[in-house]
Amino acid sequence: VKCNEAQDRLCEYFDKRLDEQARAGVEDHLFSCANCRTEADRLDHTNRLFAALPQVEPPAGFEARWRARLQEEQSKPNLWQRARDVFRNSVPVQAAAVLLIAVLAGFLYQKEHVSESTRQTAPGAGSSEKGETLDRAAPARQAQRQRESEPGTDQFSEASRQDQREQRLQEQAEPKSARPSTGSVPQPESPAVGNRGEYLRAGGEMPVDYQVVVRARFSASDTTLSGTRAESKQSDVPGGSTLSQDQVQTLEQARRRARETGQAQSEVLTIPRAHYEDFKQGLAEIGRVESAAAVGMRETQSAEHVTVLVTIVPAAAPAGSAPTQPSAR
Amino acid sequence: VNRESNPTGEEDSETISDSECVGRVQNGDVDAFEILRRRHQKSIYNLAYRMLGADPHEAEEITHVVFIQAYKSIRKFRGKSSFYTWLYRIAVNQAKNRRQQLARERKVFTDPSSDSDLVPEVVDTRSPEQITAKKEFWGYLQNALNRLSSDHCEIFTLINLQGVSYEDAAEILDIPLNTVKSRLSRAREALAKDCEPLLKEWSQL
Repeated sequence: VKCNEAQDRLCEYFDKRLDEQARAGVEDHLFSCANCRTEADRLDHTNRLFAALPQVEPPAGFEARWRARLQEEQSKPNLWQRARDVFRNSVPVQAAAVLLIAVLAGFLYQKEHVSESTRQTAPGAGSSEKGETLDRAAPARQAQRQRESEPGTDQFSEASRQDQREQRLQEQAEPKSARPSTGSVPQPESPAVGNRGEYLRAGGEMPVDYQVVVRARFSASDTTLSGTRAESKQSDVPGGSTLSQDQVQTLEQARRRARETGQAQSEVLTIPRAHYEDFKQGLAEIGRVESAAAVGMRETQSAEHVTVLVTIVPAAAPAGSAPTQPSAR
Repeated sequence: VNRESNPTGEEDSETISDSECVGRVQNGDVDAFEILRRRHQKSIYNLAYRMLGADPHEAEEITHVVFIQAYKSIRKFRGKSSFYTWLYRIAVNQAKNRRQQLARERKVFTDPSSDSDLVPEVVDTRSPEQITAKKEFWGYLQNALNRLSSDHCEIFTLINLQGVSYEDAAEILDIPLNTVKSRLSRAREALAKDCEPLLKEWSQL
């Protein structure tokens, strides 16, 4: 056994943790090495010195103070109870809670809302100056949101991608269509008619259930909805007309504007859900329905009425040479 | 330990095992916690007392805190270690934190003691002078403990003063057994160096 080896084992030696052989090895070394013996003596004496330190008793009154302490601890409300008490007794905390809930609700609503408006935006869907600024900002925002959410786990993501594809197709076919129309026709009497321009002016974006893009016929013949489709429909459909007179006029005017300005015109119409298919077919009177898509799964799905964004795209000149597109549905 | 034969009564509190007490506490028996508390209180108190400069108020406060913490968290105790090492771990952590806090505030554990030239009286007699001398001797040793680093103080207190095994100390401090050995060795070496004058007196006796 070497010196360092012996000294490494001194602790265990004095604490009687070494087996017989190791113990004998240390003792043999100490017998022959004066330096290590001195060191061992120091440690041994140190151990003995400190062994003289007595165990002490807790001071008088310890028990009573402990019992008081324990009782205090047991009567202390737990974390949940304390939080509840704070909430009950503090108006600022209550106010903060209400505010928090409001902000949270607003955030959730906005999130939902934006994802709805993603589907709503069609090429050339602006119908006023204000509408344009909103519309132009929206696609970038929406595109970013969609990038962020992909691969999306939410139920909308598949629909969003589908809509994006549709948008791209339409943008390719209609490179300069994203312009505002000159104006929209106010419809103050009829609450059933939504007007996108008005809505956007009021500072909101209108969620829609369906988005229909109609390419207007180039033909100058004035086949009108009021003349053919809608009026006959009024008599065909029992219990109500597919389109009100105002709505028919709205679409007529939009088509006219599209033809005159060469720019896409959009209108939002609210129609009975049951009439949607008929309505779509009715649109064939003014042009070719290029796409008709249900956008999103609004909570109003069960509602009796649906909101349809109709975008009337002017016919590409000359007649008959309009680019053919794959139909969306 | 005979547990079944004596389910109630005074004797029970002495024969019932720690782990059975723990089980009872976990089932809502507060009295069983008192058995554990009384059983381990003195050890915990002495550990804190030595680690905190032999201050009875500090030691009492830490002891209370340790048992309150044990009471509150005993539901989480899963019995992987023995109750006493679990309890000691709480105690060492509390005492160590307090010791470091006191050292920052008052520098009580870093100042060299003024009575290092004290001649100890080791003979155990009952005369008032000798009792005083004995208290001074204890104070000398306590000062040496105070000057140790927290790591050295805790390992020395556990093993030398509390008689905890190396293995249990490793579990309490959550360090490997070899670290226990080397740390203990350095702690004893530091104390031997610090108590050099005392040891010289000793060797001349």
